[in-house]
Amino acid sequence: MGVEREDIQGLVFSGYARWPASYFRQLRIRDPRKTKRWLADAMDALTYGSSDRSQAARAAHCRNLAFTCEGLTRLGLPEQSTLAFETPFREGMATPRRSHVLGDLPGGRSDPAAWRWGADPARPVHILQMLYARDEKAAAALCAAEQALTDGFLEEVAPPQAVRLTPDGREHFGFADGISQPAYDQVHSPMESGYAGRRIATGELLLGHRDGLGNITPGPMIDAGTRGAAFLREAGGGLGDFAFNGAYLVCRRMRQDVPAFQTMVGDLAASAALTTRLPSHQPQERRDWAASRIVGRWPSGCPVTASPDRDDPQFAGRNAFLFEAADPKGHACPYGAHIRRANPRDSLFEPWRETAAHEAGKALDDNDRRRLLRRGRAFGPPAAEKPDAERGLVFLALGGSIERQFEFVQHSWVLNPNFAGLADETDPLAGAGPTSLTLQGNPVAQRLGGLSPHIWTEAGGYFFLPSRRALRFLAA
Amino acid sequence: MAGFGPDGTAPGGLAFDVLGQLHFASITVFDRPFLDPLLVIECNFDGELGAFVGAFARTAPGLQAVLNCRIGPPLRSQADVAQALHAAARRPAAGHIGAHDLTRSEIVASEALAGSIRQHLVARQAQFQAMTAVQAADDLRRNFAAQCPPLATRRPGLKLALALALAVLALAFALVIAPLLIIGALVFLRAERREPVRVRPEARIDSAARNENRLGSAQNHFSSIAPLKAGPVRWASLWLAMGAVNLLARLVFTQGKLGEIPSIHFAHWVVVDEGSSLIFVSNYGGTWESYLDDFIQKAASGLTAVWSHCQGFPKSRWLASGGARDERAFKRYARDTQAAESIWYSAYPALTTRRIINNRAIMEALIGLSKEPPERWLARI
Repeated sequence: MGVEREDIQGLVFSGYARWPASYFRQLRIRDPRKTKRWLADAMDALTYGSSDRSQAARAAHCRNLAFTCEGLTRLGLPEQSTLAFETPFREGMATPRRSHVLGDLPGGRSDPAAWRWGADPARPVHILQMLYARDEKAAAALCAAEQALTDGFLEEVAPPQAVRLTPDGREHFGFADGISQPAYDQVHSPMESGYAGRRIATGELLLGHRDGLGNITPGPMIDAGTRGAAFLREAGGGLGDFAFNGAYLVCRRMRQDVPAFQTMVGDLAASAALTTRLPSHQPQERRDWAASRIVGRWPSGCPVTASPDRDDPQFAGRNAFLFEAADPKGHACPYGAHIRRANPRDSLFEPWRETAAHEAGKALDDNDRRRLLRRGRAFGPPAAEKPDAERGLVFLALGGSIERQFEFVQHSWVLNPNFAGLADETDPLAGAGPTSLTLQGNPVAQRLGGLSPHIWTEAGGYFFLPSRRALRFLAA
Repeated sequence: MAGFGPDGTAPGGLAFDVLGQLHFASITVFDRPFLDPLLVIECNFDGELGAFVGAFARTAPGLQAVLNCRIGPPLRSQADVAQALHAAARRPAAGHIGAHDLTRSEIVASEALAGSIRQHLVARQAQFQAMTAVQAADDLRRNFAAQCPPLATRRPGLKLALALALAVLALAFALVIAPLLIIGALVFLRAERREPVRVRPEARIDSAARNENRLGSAQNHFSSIAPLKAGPVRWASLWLAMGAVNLLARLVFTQGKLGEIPSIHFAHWVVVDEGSSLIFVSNYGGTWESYLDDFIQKAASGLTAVWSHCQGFPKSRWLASGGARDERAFKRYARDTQAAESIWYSAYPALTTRRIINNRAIMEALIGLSKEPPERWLARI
């Protein structure tokens, strides 16, 4: 049995690989009445899940819409009912409390005070419009057409963000990205395997469904008397369930400094620590080796755990693996490597622990509750083409909870200086400041110093991706 | 208290950092409808109450002013302050200490020495890579064993076999008094079933969250108060549940984990208001959300068994079932009963329980107190 695909926006089911060119628009509602009228038409042109995949694949464009909490209330979702949303969503991404959790520290490069959008209360973002097309020209035309349609009542808080899927699926540092996707019950077909072969409860992605603990998280409930409430799913007691079949959407514009990253990796490769450790390697091989310790995968996506010493294309994009089983001491993939922090799989233990099988199983259960469905895309030209241009990625992630999933991963794993028994180091790829990376090994661990993440946050927001029913309610 | 700074140690404040035996301290004013506000000073310290209270009264210039806000005769001297503190002191009815038996000075000194050892390893990376594990271990012992701080004696945890044997004994005893137990259980279950389910209104703002996630701190503080359910049945089951939690914490969970939770430094339940309210204070590692997730996923039974005695707690079944497993309702309950502390002090804000316990293991092997294989010992460093 599956979810009602036609009620759910298509971004949940697909990363739109056939529509690699795209624009994201960050919009502020100036005139709620006109916006509602526009929404009534626009919602039918959105992309929803479909049982007929071949028909869906023929579409020229894909469109999706997500809203901030303030955006929803501007369109008439009763303020009182939004208290049922999670605190992070209600607060927004740029409050001091959230900034502490996310590592967007005051005075640092990710300080919300310097963000392009999403932090200025005077210029709030209400709607994130995501537009996808077959090629760059078509995407630009689609974006221009939408601009013409919404002119006057929706204001662009920032210029439309051009984003794309790169032809080889690699992000700007040169690594295959977006490999470790989870598979959810009722959403993915049994044929599609998720990370480590796990299947995750529907409620970990979609609201109104049972999560990994068997709970259904209630969202805003709308009185039957409210205008448009009849469109919502009846939740008993005459209430309409606004959040049903919707999901939270985390959006962060992450800037990447490719030359600085390459310099850091080059310095590492030339350091005494690595030249004595890898005496027979060529300089380029040493660079790849060093960078892959930071990421936890080789550029092809081959996990370091599967092939510690060289990039092995036969394991490119491999997602069905565990750490505790293959590499319990971190001698291949360091505990502090990015993919081992952001998705520790069965490996939530210190390197010196002898972990029993049932403990690793429990760690996997816990890990399932922290997964994100990622839909991010790159912006800016490749560094080789235009070295001086801005580039990075717009991180998009869907989930049933912001605080238990995205924020937890960020705070308790990626930015945690004591993650898995490590001492005083944070994620060397996506952390929040100067750090070191410990390479576990015999006889003692090696500590590589002088590292610093060359990714930082320039904008962002917490959004909600409503169901078709909920969109109809908002348009009414 | 605002003038004392968020951790109370500003000049003229409470000078917590001078008290060498203090681990954590907090001051919370619980403002409650229909009841007098309650001023709670929480101190987790080494040694005896009398010695600590005397030292606290002597070294904290602002303490007298704080205590004179309470209802009662004014305090005029340090001796008055010490006496008032002593008289008002309540020992926790149940609780858990992550790094139990370790003194503050040992925790701080071990962390410093572990840091020195790491620096030594970094400075001599090339030499160490060429050594065997035994050679590396010998090098470290030669260089650092003499600097190891005095280590407190730790009570060992109960071995699993012994615990099982005790459980069998307890079961045999229980069989003897089975009829009584069954009657007691039936009475309890009947009372539990009849308790009303309360639907909590969603709170508008989480004001208690305003102090959380301090910069540079790996820890957070939680303090809450809630009225206890009335009646002799709930009174009896509360003390039974707290006794069981205490017993487990002392005998079984002595390796830094309560249940499977590795993040708790100190957590205590205290009964106040002549047995009508329950205070819960905790000093823990990580965020509030991760702490409560740990409660839900790893210790829901023990927690529900105690906390379900409070009014408004999510509906429990069979004493320890249900309750905290209702994630949304449980988190809402925790926020609603929580108060923002005015002052919170930690003697070692950057340390986690896991790290403290690991430092201890490093020190033990350093001076030969434990016989850990060198490979494993070195992996800890």
